[in-house]
Amino acid sequence: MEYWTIIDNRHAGPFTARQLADMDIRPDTPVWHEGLPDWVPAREISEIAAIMIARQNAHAQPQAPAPAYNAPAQPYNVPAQPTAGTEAEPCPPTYLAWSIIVTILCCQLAGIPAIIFSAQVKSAYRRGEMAKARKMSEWAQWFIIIAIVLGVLTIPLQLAFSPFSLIGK
Amino acid sequence: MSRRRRIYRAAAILTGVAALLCLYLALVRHTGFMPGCPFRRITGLDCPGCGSQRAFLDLLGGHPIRALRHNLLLLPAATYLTALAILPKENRLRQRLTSAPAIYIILAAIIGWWIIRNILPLHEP
Repeated sequence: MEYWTIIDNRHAGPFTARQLADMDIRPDTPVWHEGLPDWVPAREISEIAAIMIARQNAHAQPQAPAPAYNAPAQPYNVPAQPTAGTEAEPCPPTYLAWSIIVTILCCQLAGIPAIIFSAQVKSAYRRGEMAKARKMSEWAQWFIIIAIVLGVLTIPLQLAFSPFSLIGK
Repeated sequence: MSRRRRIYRAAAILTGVAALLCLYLALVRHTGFMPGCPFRRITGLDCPGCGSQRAFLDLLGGHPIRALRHNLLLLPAATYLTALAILPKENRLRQRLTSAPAIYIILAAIIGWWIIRNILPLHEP
């Protein structure tokens, strides 16, 4: 079915119903198709109304403002996530096992923050704060790396400052 | 990643680890040098992981009980990490073990062990 509409006070068309929906017409935009005696508001044409309603549901935005949860420098190219995600996104990786390992074995100074960040990934995810959860996941990774680097660095340092460590105490 | 590449990658990692392990064992057994704990060298106190190296060497040397006594945290830690490795993600026990409260409990346990082992006379020669 071909439709005509009025845009900027000019007749435009013919379009399909989908094209009209793509054009972001309003419910009261005048539309005409062959057989109608006069222009009618778009909402009164069932084919167009149906598409517009379906599109509105697909893009439903909850009330909470998305920008509040966006970190200013987002390393990932993800669109702003609403507070209550419309689709279930899995929890970002916590790197918990690594956090624990480096804390016990390598470097407590960096490892303990890493564990805390791993925990924060989970708690932010439960609250639905996806941007924060991803950020905590990233910080956990960084502190794990820092812990490993610091731990590895101590080996040559020990060699430098005393030729041999005694076994045990 | 395709299956074949997965196998190659696993083989590469295992080979690398095995090589490092050989180097490490050779270093320790022939020179007597063991990388020590920085915390212990600076403060004289034990960190949560002190004794892991001795425990590891004893384990390799066939003395599991002696290994355990070097650091009591190692067995619970190894159990927990193994559980994380083998339990599937949907498992309820795993979800409980890795929830935020559980993580804080683990952190408290690690720090608690850190403090306790420096207060109680746990040392063995």
